[in-house]
Amino acid sequence: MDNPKRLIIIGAILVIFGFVAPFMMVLGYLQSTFVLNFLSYTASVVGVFLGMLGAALYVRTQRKG
Amino acid sequence: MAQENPVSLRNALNLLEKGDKAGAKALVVQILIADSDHEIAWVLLSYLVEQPEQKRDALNQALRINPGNQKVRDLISQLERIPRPMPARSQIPVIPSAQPHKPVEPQDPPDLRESIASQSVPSESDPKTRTGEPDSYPQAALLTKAADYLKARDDAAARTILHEILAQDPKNARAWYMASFVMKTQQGRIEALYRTLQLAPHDQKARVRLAKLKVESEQQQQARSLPVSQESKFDWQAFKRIGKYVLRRGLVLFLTVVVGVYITILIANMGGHVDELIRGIVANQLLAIGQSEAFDQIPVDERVAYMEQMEWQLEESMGLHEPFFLRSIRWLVHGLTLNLGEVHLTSWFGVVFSGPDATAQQFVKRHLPYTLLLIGTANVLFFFTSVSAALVLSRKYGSWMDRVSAAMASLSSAPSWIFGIFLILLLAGGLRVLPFPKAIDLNYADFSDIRYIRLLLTQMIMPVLAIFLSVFFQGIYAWRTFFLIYSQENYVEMGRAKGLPAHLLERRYILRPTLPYVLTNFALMMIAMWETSLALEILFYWPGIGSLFVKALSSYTQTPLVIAIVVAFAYILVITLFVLDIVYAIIDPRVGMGGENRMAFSVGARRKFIFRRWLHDLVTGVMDFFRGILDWLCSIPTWFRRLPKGAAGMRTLADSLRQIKKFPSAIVGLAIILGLIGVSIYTIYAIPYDKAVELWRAHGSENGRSVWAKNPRNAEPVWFNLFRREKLPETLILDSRDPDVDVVYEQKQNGMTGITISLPFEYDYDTFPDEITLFFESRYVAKMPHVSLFWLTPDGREIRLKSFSADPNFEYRLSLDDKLSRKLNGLSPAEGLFIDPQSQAPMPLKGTYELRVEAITFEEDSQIDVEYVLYGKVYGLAGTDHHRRDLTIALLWGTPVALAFGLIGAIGTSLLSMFIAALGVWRGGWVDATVQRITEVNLILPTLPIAIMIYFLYSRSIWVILGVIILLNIFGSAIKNYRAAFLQVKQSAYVEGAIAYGASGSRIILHYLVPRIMPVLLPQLVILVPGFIFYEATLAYLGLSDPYLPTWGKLVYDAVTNGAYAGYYYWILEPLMLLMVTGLAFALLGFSLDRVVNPRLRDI
Repeated sequence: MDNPKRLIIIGAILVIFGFVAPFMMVLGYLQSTFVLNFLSYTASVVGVFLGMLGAALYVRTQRKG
Repeated sequence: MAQENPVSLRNALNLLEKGDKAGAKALVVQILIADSDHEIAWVLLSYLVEQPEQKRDALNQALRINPGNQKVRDLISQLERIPRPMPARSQIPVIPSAQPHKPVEPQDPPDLRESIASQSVPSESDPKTRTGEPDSYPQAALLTKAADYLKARDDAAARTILHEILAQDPKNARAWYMASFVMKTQQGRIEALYRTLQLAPHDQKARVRLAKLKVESEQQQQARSLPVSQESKFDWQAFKRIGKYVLRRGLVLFLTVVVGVYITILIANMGGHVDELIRGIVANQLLAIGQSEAFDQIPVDERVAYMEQMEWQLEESMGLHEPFFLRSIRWLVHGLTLNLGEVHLTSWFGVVFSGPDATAQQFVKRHLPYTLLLIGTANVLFFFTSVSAALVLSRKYGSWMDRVSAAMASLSSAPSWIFGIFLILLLAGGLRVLPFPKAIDLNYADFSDIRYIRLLLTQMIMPVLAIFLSVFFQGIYAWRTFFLIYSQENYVEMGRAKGLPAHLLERRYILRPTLPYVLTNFALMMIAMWETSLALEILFYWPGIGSLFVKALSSYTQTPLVIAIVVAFAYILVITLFVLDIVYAIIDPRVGMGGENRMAFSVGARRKFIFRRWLHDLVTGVMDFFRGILDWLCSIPTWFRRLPKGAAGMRTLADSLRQIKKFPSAIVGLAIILGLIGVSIYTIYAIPYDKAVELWRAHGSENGRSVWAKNPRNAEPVWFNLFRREKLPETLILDSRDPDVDVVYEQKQNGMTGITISLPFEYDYDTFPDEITLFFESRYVAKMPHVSLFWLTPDGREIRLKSFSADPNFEYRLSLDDKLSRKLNGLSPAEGLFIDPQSQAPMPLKGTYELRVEAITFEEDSQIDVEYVLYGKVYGLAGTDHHRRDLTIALLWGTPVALAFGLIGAIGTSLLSMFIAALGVWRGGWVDATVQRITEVNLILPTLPIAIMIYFLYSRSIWVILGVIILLNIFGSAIKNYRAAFLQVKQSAYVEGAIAYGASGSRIILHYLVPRIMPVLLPQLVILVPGFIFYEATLAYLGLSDPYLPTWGKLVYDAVTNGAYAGYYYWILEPLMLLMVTGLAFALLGFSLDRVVNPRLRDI
């Protein structure tokens, strides 16, 4: 929470997972299950949330006045 | 209204403008004491101080904070040219400089140090403090020297001298006081001041300084210890708290899913759709059994009895004999697990899928990853661009980029499929860098084939971009707005002035209040994105669950699949809300700690839940609600009578207009809306509803001919010619009944009459016409008139076209005459008759043409008239469609429909939400709890899929669908916002006063609570309008609209499904542009009104 860059990186990883997992399912490399589908969606949403949080913290630490 | 913090840079600048340099300097110094990393304050200080060395020092501080500030570098280099005075250090205003993240001991401002030697410090001449030592004179000299060192910031030298003095005279109060400036630690300074006050108890200066140091010390200790103490306890306590909260929210959300799915099943089964479906499955199974060869050997009576028994057993096993409630519970369990049996679905290419592998669950599993792939990719794009944009925009606040992003946010209210169409027209139609959307049939796709992967990726680009565009600007705007609001709040300034470390300030004072709004906004955006993905997938033939849903709905037998997809949508929405809840819990520990979020029927509440009380509350609540609305409606005339009259009324109006006038965007928005209202009034007056509906039906006829027969097909608007180099032909109609037309009659023998009709016309266009048709009307008793047609070109050629006998309504489609085409060397008649024989390239010959009709009638009263129609390539203000219909009618009628849909939806939703929220707040208890629970359940109900389901299963009227959408939106997020506002208003003194004098519940709600919220309601209502307009367009685009009423969305649907991509872009662009302009107008007005009623937004 105190490290914006770490938040952004974790968010980026989750968001990318939210893209890669359905892509693998679409290509048939992973079997499509409800758990995996919902997990990938959750990862994508959480990733964006964390990214926003990290960006907000980062911007505030950079921006003064 | 927020009050401005007196200690702010703006005030310092104001003082500087007024010429009060000293005052400005004092303020800047205070700002720098609070925040030593304030770059602008340092730069400002460099203007306020006199000495070059002081200026240089201030600028160096600014450069330390922002090494990239070129202007500061330039200023320093200018200063470098000025020779440094010696000794300069004593003149430098000493401001504590602290490195970020490394708190240092606060030092004293310069004025204190400079006043040490001269002001109220106890001196040796003071008899009260004089030590009476004989060597006081040398001590005085030493003290003066120490004071000089102190002023020169040479603390080490001062410390040495003071140490020497105090070694000789430990009771020297002045030395102790001076020592309080040079001690290395805060504690040491405080100790020194205690000693000073012991020796000189009346020293006010020392007392004040001691108090100040003590406060600073406490604050620093607090600031240092808080994160540490929190962190040391955080892991376990926070884990427990968040864990509890997550569990509780998970349970509540699961219950809301159960209720939501049950509601969905009830909607689907209303009228027995699901039961009929199960009976159909039973019948299919019986049919399969009946076709078995084993049955042939059984006697017919036994066979019938056996089948009846089998039918009963099958129905029993499927629960059809159970009471409705049990049946619906069985369906609920199946619905929650998506275990809804087999489905039979036709693929894109017409193949029917059925059998054990084709269950609803399998279908959803197969198609869901495709939708997730679109959303996931859009999220990746959104993630990386929003982070970058946030960085850029936060540094360039107020720049053109910032303004563009704010302006674009107004357009982001449009659904993703509208952006999708624009992208198709641009990237596939205009630039041709991407192919037009193609259907991907999963049943024939070879997933491992690289061509499939390439196709998939190529087809993904435009839908992903469309989703991204529909969320990006809106997201950035929301983020930026709320962030700016809260970073300017007084309590943020106060926190900074208190000396709180930056990271604590960010987290507690800015992020905590800001992020819930931003995250909620984002979560709602995600929910809207899911809903509009239905239309997007249809547009791009994307095989996700959106297109599967619409496909399943188009077949009445696919109700299980429809329910399964709605449930999948509900799960997705629940996940979004659940993630949002968890993030709330992490960023704001207050969430879930109070009792507000407890379940409505908790143990404490249950004690009070006596049936009589409940019944009384219910009846009173409902009666209050309806009586209140009635009262309110009755009070409207009184309210109007009470409006300020005459000059006062004009003043009030002028005041409001003056407020609006400050926002040019509001004026633009208002002007567009007024224009649209004007167009609506004109349309309803000029083309009444019945006439519009009649005209818009392609089969409308007039005298046996289609009313649109004389219009060109797919013609562009006439005004397109203004922007074209090659002028397109306009439609030309010449009628022999026109008095200007030359008709020659020649009596012949045997009652025959020769009629020659000359129809000359100018042709001055650069391209050939599309079609030419002659409409004949002949009157005769027995023998049809005989007609010969001749074509005369400007260069003197005469071409015989055709000879024939004309029946009463004969139509000669000249441009489709194959015989004539052969005569014209294989060219189509529309081209061959106009071609310039001398030109190399096929160009029309410009000049005067003539069509000569030579007819012979064989009876005395026989007559023949002809109408010559040359179909152009441009027509009217809006062009025509594939049915030759004038698009102006649909565009005109689309205006009142869109406005009515938008306004009724927005007003209905806003007012009902507000009344229900007011009722909940006022009644409190179970009424409020019920409203809250309904809202939570409703949040997970996907509005658009349910509206579509109702359209297919129950009613095809857009007004019924509007009612459903309003009903589903009443209990939306708005109700929570209104509730929060009403809770505040309820605490007001005048409401308490009203309660005290015995005002009724309805009176308090409608006369005291609601009017206070009205100013907030108005902008929100205006902002809601585009959402409803786009809802109608989305439904119409999906083919779910009133079958007769022409609307903008229906026009887009017609265009996309009837070949508008083949170059007839005007057909799509006109309704889309009107949709966008209308949405933009309401958004501009709404945002401006929001600023009028919410002053915090004015500077943003």
